[in-house]
Amino acid sequence: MGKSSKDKRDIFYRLAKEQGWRARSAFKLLEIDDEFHVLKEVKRAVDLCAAPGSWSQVLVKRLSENSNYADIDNDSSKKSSSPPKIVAAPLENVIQIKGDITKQSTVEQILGYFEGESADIVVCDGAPDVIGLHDFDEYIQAQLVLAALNITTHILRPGGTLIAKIFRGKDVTLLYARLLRFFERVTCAKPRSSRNSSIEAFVVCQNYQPPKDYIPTMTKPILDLSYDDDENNKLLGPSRLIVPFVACGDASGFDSDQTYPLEEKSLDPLQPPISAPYRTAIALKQQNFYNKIPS
Amino acid sequence: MKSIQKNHIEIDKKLYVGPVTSLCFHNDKVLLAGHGPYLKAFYVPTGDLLDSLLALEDWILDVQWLYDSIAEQIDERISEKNPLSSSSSSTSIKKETPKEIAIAFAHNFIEIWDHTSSTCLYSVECQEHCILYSARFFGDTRENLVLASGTVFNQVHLWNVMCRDKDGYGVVYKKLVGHEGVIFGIRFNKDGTSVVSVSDDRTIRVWRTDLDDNMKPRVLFGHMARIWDCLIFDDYLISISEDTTCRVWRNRFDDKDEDDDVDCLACWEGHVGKNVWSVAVNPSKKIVATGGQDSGIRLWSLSSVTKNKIDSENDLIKVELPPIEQYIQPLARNSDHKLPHTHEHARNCVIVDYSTIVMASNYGYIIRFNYQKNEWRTLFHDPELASYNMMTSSQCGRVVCCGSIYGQLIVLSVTNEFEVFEIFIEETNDPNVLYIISHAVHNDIYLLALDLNNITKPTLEILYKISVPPCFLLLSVAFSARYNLLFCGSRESELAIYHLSRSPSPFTKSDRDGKSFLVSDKDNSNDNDNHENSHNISTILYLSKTHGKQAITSIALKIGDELTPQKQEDTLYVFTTGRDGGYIKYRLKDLSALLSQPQQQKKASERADSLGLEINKSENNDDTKKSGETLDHDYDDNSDEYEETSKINEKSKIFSASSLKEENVERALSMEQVYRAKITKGWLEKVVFVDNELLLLGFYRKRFFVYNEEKKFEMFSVACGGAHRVWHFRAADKRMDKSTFVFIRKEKIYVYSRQASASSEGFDECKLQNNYHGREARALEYLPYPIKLFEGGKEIAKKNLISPVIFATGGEDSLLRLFQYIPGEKELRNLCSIKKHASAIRSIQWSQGIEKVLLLFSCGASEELRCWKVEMSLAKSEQLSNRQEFLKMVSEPVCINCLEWSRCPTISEIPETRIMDISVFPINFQHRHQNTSGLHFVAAVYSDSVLRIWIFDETTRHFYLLGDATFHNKCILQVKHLVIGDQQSKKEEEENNECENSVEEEWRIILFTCATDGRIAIWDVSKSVQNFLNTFSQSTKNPLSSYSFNDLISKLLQYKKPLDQPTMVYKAHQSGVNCMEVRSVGRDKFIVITGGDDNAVAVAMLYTSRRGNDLVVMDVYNMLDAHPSSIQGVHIINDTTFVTSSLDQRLNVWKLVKKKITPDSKEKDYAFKLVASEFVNVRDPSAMGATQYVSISSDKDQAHKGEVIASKTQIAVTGIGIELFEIRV
Repeated sequence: MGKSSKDKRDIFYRLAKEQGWRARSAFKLLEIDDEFHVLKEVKRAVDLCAAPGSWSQVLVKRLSENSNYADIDNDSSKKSSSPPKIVAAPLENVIQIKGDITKQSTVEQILGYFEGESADIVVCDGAPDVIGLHDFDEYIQAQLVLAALNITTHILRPGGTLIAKIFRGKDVTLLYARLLRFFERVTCAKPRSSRNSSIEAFVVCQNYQPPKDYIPTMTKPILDLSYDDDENNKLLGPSRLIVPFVACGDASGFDSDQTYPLEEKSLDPLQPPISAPYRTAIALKQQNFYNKIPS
Repeated sequence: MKSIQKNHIEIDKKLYVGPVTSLCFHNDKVLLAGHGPYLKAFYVPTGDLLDSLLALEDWILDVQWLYDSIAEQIDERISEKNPLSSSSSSTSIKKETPKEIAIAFAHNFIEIWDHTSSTCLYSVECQEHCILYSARFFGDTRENLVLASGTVFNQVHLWNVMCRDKDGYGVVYKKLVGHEGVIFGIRFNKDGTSVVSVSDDRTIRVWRTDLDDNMKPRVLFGHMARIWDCLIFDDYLISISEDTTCRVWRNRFDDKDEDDDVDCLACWEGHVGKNVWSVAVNPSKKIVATGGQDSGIRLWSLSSVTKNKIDSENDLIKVELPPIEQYIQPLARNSDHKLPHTHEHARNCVIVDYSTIVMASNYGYIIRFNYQKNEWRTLFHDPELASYNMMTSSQCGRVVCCGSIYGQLIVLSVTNEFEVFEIFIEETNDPNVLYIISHAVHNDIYLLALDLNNITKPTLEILYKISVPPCFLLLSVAFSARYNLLFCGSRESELAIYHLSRSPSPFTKSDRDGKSFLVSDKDNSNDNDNHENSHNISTILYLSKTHGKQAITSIALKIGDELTPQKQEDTLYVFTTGRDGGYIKYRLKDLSALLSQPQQQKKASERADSLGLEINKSENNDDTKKSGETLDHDYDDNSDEYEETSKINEKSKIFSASSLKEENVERALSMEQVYRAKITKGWLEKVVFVDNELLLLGFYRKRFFVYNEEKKFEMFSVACGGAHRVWHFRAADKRMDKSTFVFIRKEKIYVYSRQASASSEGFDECKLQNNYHGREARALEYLPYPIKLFEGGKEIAKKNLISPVIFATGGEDSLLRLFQYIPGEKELRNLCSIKKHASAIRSIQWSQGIEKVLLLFSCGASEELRCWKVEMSLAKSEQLSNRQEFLKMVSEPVCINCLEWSRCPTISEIPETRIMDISVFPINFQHRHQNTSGLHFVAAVYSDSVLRIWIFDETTRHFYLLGDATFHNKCILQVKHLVIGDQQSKKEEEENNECENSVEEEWRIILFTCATDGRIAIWDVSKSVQNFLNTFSQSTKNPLSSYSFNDLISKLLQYKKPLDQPTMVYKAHQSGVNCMEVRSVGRDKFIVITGGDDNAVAVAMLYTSRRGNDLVVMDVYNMLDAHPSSIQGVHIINDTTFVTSSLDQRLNVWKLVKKKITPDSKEKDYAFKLVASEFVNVRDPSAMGATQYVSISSDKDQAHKGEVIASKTQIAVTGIGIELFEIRV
């Protein structure tokens, strides 16, 4: 799909380019913050899985008076399936760490930058390359959130906030149950800049209160989830654990599903798309490789 | 499977269709398939489904037999509720019980379980902590067990289960590095010396595990998208991909010689949409099974890889002319054999049977040649056939005709049954009568009958002489003796149809003494001139540019409805192929009046299947012609290249054909274009029916191919160098076990011949399970009742209207499909599948047309709104007399014809505007004594926030814009309608209330729209409709066809008026309102139930006064956490019960319960109660449909056998696949 047809399809793609955001997802964090005010008073923030970096841009903007925060560019996260060589372009006041969010060393690196203090907020907009088997994609996404939760328990101060992208699939209630063990309030937020037709949503987990006997560890991470864990969360029926839903953003603002008239000029994206794993295959295609027929 | 039972609500799962995620051959005869939660067993030789068991509550990811002491499982599920479920289902069937089972988990650790005691004996985690998309074991003891882990960091790691490092982690002893994307699949070969891995980078890599680490893998490119899995065995690699194909590759590692040999041996395209998810090979390595996201399961013959793709000349028989002296001599005494100055070579040839061809030499010799026995015999020589000879043979193989450059026709007996005679041969039912059709360039067509009844004195009779339009270069013919219709296709893409209704020609020429029988064209003889006027027949139908500007290369005819052979015999289907790479199917109806006259049947048979061949002089004598120049050989389902790109009011080809209808003397003939599809970017040269399957033959680049249109795959192809002027193909059966392909290249004849014994492949049916949409379905609509069903032209009495269950679906794959569900059957019946929409279909609605017609409206992206005419009949024409009989109708298969009828003009500024939803009903109520029948109300909501009301006029097939409005300022998601006080509902009320003197009341039309703003707007559009009807009636029935394009549009938009703003608005949701249903509850009250992206369900109760315009909302009740995810479907079962479906894959049944409240209480009157819930196996369930449905007691229940037990609600939830539920309240 060319950039012009993306422009036509999605108003926020266009707005992001106009307003200088690296990706349309910047609006999602902005809208979540407008609703929950989670960035107010924040001094230290951690952005996991930061490429291409639009959420870091938002953090820079909103936290500009409190410059002491780190940005972990989570390139080699074990949950990420993006190629390891891509690095988001540096941003001012942002410290980039290329680490693995399942490693103790990464935790120490972050805490080192914060001079022993804990973060006020951790955000994670990471998602795997979906393969199309929804069970699998939802599972991988849940694993990514759990890995983010795990590192969060090392670096977040009590009372802090975690925001992460989720897929509202068939087993999302399991994820809610797990998050509610660590946070007082868990809300499912859907920014208006996220398409109505998308399965994507965000969990806003507020007031971090780890269980009393909980000791953060990287060696025995919180992995799998089960319906049997919790009497109040069954596969079917009325006792499923459902967290409140909040639609964020200006109700009278732009609509990501609506078709808007196109302005004449199509802008180039600020951050080119990360290179695709099939680039060699595409290059071969351009060389007419697939059409060669032996004589 | 029964689920929760509360308040007498039962939910039964009736049928599941969805991706086939795993396949495994139990033995050569039995194939196991993991299909959603079901484990199915198929009997391979017949294709029968042996058994289907509900194995698991969750997705099956792998099916693995446990004959060895250790097998593998990858548990990739989010839930641990049943971590061993896959293996336990396997153990229940297996023969030998191994003690231990090793399980590889997605987080790169292994557990070894004693499954008899269900205890974990051993556990080890790999030193590389990484999530895996794939893993594979090799080895069968703990000691030699190796796991190959496919990491998300593009590497394959091999590690031993028992070898730990100092921290206790499993040690990786080999890393296979090189992939540029995530590893999706890994397999070992039999002895473990090779590993094949497939990846996001679209490559297959074969690695040697026994060689040193620096060994480079073999890299295979070819798939056009991600690759999911690849089998490795013997000489083959078999890969499956997101690109919907399965490819067979040569398995060889020594790629030192980078020769030009292709690695890809075959590309099997048997699935639709996206993704082939599973592949398996049978134990004898002959049959490969593939399973798709489309729910299809296909079998492929591995032997056919070489058998059906002929790449080498070694597989062809090269036929040389015998030594010249040998065949010239025997005939020399009978002719003055003055040899031409040119050299002698093969000039032409025809297929006689599966071992014999008849060839013509440049010198004019006709030679019969048996390439099996290598025997030849000279049949005939005529110097007039030198340098030019058009030949054709009869299907029976008895007769060969030659046409000379001088206009002679020469009929030869292949087996010397009769003396040489004179071309186009049409078989008749009388084996001794053949029709011959001849045509000379720029001249008339003769239809002749060859009568061989008296074998010693065959007769040839000229039945008709037909004049062709000027410059009509005949390239293809077909003749239907039953209807006396002759179809002629020209090189300039004209199709001319003649009705040969006149009496046959009185003159008969036969020269029984002579060696040859000649019929001369008038250029050479004046014999015919005096007959010319009386036998000159002109076209009754003439179409131009049917295949663009390309030649019509072949015409085939089929009598009757292919779905119901015993009915509709007065229907003739016409198939044409063209050099545009496409084929077209036409239908000629009501032909009974054209049945042949008795005198014409004297010799002609009752029915003639047609085989048409033509003679013409072509200026182009090149051996090889270049076919298409384009690069991709895509069997594109039917993208329509010639579709008018006009933005507005693209009208269907059907009308253009029928509007071209010319009435010639006695009767009109109307022809409808039923279907057209582009098959190749090369040429289509022939259409034939073999075993009743439609085969399309053509050339693309350097190959000849045979494409099975019914089953959508390339059956056979030969690297023959390109398109050839002389070529013939004949197959005796649909598997082509007995077949011949012959062509002349560079003056030499090449024969490909196959005489295989039947059923060598080990299976009869290559489709074990039918396909559904291969991508997400977005719309589903049951055929509502009452409908009128026709049988043998008569309407079936209304009281017998027990309905067959039929629904239409559409989705991201842009296909419009119709299905029938027959209770008890394990599969849906596929009624039709139409690719006409350019992009995704979002909504489908039915409407009842005038007379017999059912109309279907579909809409979606690119502002497409189309109308289809659906004809439906029962497959069997048994009399359905009593009650017992009509019950059958639920289980009677129906036949469907879905014709393209009209397209709504696109008038938005942005072509990307989507039509999100439509709401349709026929305006069949009286308006000031006007007849409004044939008018349909179509409300459409657009993604740019516009609501438009169109009126579709069935008689003119035009959409008239009644009015538009914007209100939400957001993308509108849904529109529904409610008609109050129309005749039908009035009648029902009268029946119910027995109120004879109902007051003359005005009808009202209320529209409901909802958008991403969470609001529901209620519009009263009655006045607008009334105004429209007042003005429209005065100006209707003007033929619009005479208008120019722009004028036509202004005519269609002339009634447009702005609609009044909504009479009422309420906000029920925080964000997008995804689904809505409206229902009248009693006389003046109705309820609106909506489901939102915000997990909430809202019920609004509204009250209307019929006299005034007032519309009052009584209250809105919200259920905030109805589901944990976006709600995608709602259906109201009765006044207090409704069903919701959501992306969380649950189906919930709710009851609205009236609360006891004190008058002072501010509490609302109603509360919701979840009364039943069921898990939905369909992923991404984005649409829901429902119908009332009658169930019949089973045979087991003897007391009430065959009786109607109860009316149930059938719910269909669709997304990636479909699942049917039955709800009994």
